[in-house]
Amino acid sequence: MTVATQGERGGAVERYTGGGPSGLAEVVELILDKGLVIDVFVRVSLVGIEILTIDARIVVASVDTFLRFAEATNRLDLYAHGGKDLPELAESMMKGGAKGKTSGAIEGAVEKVGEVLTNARRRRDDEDEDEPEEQPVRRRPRPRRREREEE
Amino acid sequence: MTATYVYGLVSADTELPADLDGLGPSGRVSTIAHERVAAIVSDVPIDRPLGTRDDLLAHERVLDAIAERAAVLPMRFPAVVEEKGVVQELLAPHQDRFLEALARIEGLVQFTLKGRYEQDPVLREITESDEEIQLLRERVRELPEDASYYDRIRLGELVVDAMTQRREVDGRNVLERLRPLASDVSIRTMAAPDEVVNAAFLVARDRVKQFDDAVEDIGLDFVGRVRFRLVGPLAPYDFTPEG
Amino acid sequence: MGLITGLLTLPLAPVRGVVWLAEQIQEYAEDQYYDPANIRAELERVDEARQLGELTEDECVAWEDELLRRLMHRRE
Repeated sequence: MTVATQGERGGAVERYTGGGPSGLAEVVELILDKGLVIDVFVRVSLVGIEILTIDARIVVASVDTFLRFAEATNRLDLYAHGGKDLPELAESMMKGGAKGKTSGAIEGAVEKVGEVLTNARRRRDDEDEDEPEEQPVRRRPRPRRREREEE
Repeated sequence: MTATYVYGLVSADTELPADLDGLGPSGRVSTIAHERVAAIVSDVPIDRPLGTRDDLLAHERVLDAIAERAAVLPMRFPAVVEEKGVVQELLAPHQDRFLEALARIEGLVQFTLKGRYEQDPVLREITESDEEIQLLRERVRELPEDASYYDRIRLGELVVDAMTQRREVDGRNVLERLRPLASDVSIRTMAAPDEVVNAAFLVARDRVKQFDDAVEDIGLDFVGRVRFRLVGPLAPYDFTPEG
Repeated sequence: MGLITGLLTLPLAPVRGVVWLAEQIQEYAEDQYYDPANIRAELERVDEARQLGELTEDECVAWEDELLRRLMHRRE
């Protein structure tokens, strides 16, 4: 999938070429955890093929989590040190706590992952030089080596 | 015995894109059909275990390319079966269920929206609006690290609690704004307290732009507080039958 | 830091010598090492490094493959 990041280049959405190298974390999360499980439907398992499985676990809030957040709260740079009086509290709440609606349009406020492949290919000509080269047209048999991914 | 990799299931009359690139040595992707349902298949590397980065990306790309235009039920990775089993054990016995599932996702694509709090701004919000947290924070700052251990746990607990309360409200807000634009929503488990949203949406192809715009608006409304990521359009991973 | 708190939250058990303690540490370290949530977080960091140009593509790919190997590791 392609990856676009949040307004880094003056608001323009950054795009990688179709099927680009980024977004593996998203792919992993999707195809390892979701989708139809073949074992549920097919009894016959294949001999000689090493099928690796993962052990998916949900992380719950733990002491580590609490300590981490305490640490982050500690390191905060608050407007005033402890012992604020209420009017000051209220004022800083309004400044910092209100939803950050900013004036002027911000392009690409949302990071978009997985732009449609054909769109990404069409955009090939407009792309920034810094971005990785697009993969060659995939008609030939795909070699197994990693080096084929010219970057 | 021929090892066959299965990417997903489609209705038998689905036309596949031309340039699909499989994860097997041949690189070819084809279909095995049985009556009205078909499996998207390819050969599989047999000299090494499946599970490299290339394998995962290939699996995803094949499905993305098909999902762009057609309803496809994606398989979880990895899905390797004996070739004979594709029809005998997968398609034939479960055809009706698969066709029903395909009908339910016809014309729909998945988007996954994730949102996470920007840590410092929200911690600041929380701290500045809670006196108990402020006092505890001051106390912790005054004590040496080992003396403040239990206070720090308590502080973290309070902060996590406050954050969880906030994310319920913000999360619900986001979901309510997008729900009307989707045919179905699947809410995923959010393990970390600073996760605000983690949900999959089934969106009609002709409403994708509308949905995208709505997500963009949400991103603008929450700018500086929540960082969003929109993944898609995808095959409907979160909406496949359990089996 | 995380390792110490992990030890402190373990249920109290008779300490059967240094070996037991070493095993607990080992198991805890392995839990962290193989935790899918940690691995996925690290995958995100690779992407970040890639996008910021901090690492070459080859380095990123090598790192990702290593993470995937870890993710796929079947633990008994």
